[in-house]
Amino acid sequence: MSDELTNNEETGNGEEPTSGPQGKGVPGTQGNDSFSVSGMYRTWFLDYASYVILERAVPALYDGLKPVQRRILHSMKDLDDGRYNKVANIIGHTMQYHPHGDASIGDALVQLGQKDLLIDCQGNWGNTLTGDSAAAPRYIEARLSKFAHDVVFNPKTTEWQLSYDGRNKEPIFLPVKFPLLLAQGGEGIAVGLSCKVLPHNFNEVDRCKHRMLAEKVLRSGP
Amino acid sequence: MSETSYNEDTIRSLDWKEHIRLRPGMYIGKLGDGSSFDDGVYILIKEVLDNCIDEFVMGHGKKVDVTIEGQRVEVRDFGRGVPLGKVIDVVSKINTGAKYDSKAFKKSVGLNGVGTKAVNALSGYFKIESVRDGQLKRAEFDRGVLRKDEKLVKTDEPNGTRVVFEPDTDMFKNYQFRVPHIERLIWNYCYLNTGLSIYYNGQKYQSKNGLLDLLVEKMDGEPLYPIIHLRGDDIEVAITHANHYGEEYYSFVNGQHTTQGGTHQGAFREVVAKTIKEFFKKDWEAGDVRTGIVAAISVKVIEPVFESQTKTKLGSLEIEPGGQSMRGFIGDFLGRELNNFLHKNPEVADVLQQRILNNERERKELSGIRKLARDRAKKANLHNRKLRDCRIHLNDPKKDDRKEGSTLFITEGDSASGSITKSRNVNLQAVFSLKGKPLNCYGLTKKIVYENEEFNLIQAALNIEDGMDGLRYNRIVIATDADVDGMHIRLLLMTFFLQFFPDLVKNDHLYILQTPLFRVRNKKETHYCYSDDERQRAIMKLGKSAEITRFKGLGEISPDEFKNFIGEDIRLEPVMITKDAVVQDLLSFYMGKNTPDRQEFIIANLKVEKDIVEEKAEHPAKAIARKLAENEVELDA
Repeated sequence: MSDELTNNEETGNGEEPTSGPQGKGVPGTQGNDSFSVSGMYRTWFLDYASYVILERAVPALYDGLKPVQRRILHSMKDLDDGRYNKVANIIGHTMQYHPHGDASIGDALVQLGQKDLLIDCQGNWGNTLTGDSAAAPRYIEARLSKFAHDVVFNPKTTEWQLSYDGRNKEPIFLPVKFPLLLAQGGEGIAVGLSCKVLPHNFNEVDRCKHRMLAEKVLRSGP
Repeated sequence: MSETSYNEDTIRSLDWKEHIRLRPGMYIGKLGDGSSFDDGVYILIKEVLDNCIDEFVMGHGKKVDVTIEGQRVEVRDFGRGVPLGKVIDVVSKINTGAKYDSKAFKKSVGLNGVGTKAVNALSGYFKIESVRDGQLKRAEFDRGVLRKDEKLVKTDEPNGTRVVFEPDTDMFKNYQFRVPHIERLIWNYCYLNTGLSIYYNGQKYQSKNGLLDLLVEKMDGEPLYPIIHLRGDDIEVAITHANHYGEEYYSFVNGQHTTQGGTHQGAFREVVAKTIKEFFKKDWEAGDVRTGIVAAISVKVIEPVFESQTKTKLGSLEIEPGGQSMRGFIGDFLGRELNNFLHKNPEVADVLQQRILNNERERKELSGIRKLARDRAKKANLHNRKLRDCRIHLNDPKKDDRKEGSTLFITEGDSASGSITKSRNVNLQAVFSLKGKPLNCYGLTKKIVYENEEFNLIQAALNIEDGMDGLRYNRIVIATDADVDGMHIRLLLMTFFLQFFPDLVKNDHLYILQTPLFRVRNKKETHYCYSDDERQRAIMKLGKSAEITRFKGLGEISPDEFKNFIGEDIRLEPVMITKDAVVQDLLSFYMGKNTPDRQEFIIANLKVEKDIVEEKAEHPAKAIARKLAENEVELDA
């Protein structure tokens, strides 16, 4: 939902997941010959589908973030000096980790900001209720919220991976001390799979979290 | 004025093998590297096989052995064997053969006594053995030069001829025999010569029902009605209709696959429509009758005239010198046989009529929108703003040897088209740039080709609205980035072509451009690597200090570098339809609605790639190199 290239995803998503043996009803499975059309479809489709599922559209359960969002937060932490940063600068910095267009990073950042949880916004960030869009990235500013500082980062418990060009390292997951996915919600259409988690009331989620940690009984209900 | 003189000394007479090696195009068409079915290396095999087939046609030898190992080809027939005294002459004296006076060989493909000589001259190693009545004669050559001339020896082998050759790597650079192309070649021989068995690397190829088998094999999915198979003297046809757009013909003359058609195919197209219209007594448009047709025709012609030595287009107007005209011959046969068949099989006639009426209705539906699109296309033709055209096109009326090289690159976005435009060969290479991803057109009707601006412009650029005859480029090359979105665009474009223009793919016009994945260089040398293997070899060669760049997008390659990738050493991956999957199934599985099957398939085959940072001391680049060496990460890490 935050990428300029997702506009033409295959039709039909979000059916109930099933599990079973591999490769049932797959045309041309015996021919893995990459010279043939069936081989081409197979390899390229899998490449693409795997990437979109793992690296683009679906948030990770562990920290509730899609890769682009995680990279934005990580680079905002990089840049952080207590003052507001121009969004355009943040986008540029995020590109070290995210090898895609600036527009897609900008949109993802604005969406994060509009959730009003992790990012402290300055300027016109638009409004999801009225449909007004945010001002251009060169006008608006952002910094990590206090909540984000407290809850999202901890270099000591972070596992790292190399960025796409091998020049930097980036977190595999952020060690979030809070069920961020439930609070923020998440939505994504990938290939063959899609995901939709509704956002929940922050206070209720927080209370539940405390009760769970105290190993008390939890009841859910409408 | 000019320094060069023109006198007796400048006039040269070339030795036969010199001439063949200097102008191979006259003998075997293009050279190529084996990626396309009509590349020279296959023509060499064909030339040798033709002689075996001619033996078979004359009733000698029902079996041919073909063995291909690496670059060595061995062909053994069990015919009469070349007369022992002339073994050397028939492969090394040009214009030598037994097929001139049509006595020992009637209606043969071999005509000129040139084929095997061309194979000989273009092979780094060439050996011929002929066995006749217990005696064997053997000779070996090297690029057409006789190396070994052995005396007659006794043998227990049955009669026949064995030819072994290895195409010369100086002429055919980096060639590679591709099994699908060879199978296609062998199958064509089988279909046309029922009763012949060819053993290719031990596997048996044989056809009982000739052209009927051919259509069954070539067709995707079910025919609308059982294939009509008619045989007569010197003619065999098979006809059916299927649920697709376009027309599909396989035409043969004396066992030679005429891929570019010619007079017999032209006459057949005309006559089929005429006969069917006359049978139903309706004045349909010929195009409506033929849409969706799949047909094969084979004729035998005495002394056929082809338009070139590669014999891919028939030029004969008559079936034998001074005989009946081609059109008359085919017309009489079909007018009688097809008409009878339709009378005898009213249920087939019904299905056929349904299909034709459907075609008519669809065409009329399209005509309104087509007019609109045509107006737009007119503008587009004058100025197709997505297209940077080249000067020479495949459909130019002027004769030009270079036409076969005309190429259209379909690029992803403007970032790549700039480089290609700057470094291309302006005469032969055109560029079409897509914006973003094209639409997934699976399951849509042909209307979308007119409604979607991008598709309409592609269609206009290729000029294939009215069939393949007007195709403007011989090669259509999809040039996308080597990243995942590039892969997706390839699939979307392939879907577009397979869905609406399957002929384009079947006739091997569609290719994927291979661009290097890595550049490995130090201060002196630069290597471009297309695979991980090549990359590792380059690193070994240049040492550990080499700088390794991974090309993620075509936009990262500068125009000067690009010249190397689309010039002489261009690497193209042909898009080939093979028999292991029906195209419609393939499209509906991968590009159609999401199904539980597809979900399972994705989940079971997810490719996970992570590149975890380990020991701090290790430099990141080194870590990648090490991991790649240990094959821990996939290419796309």
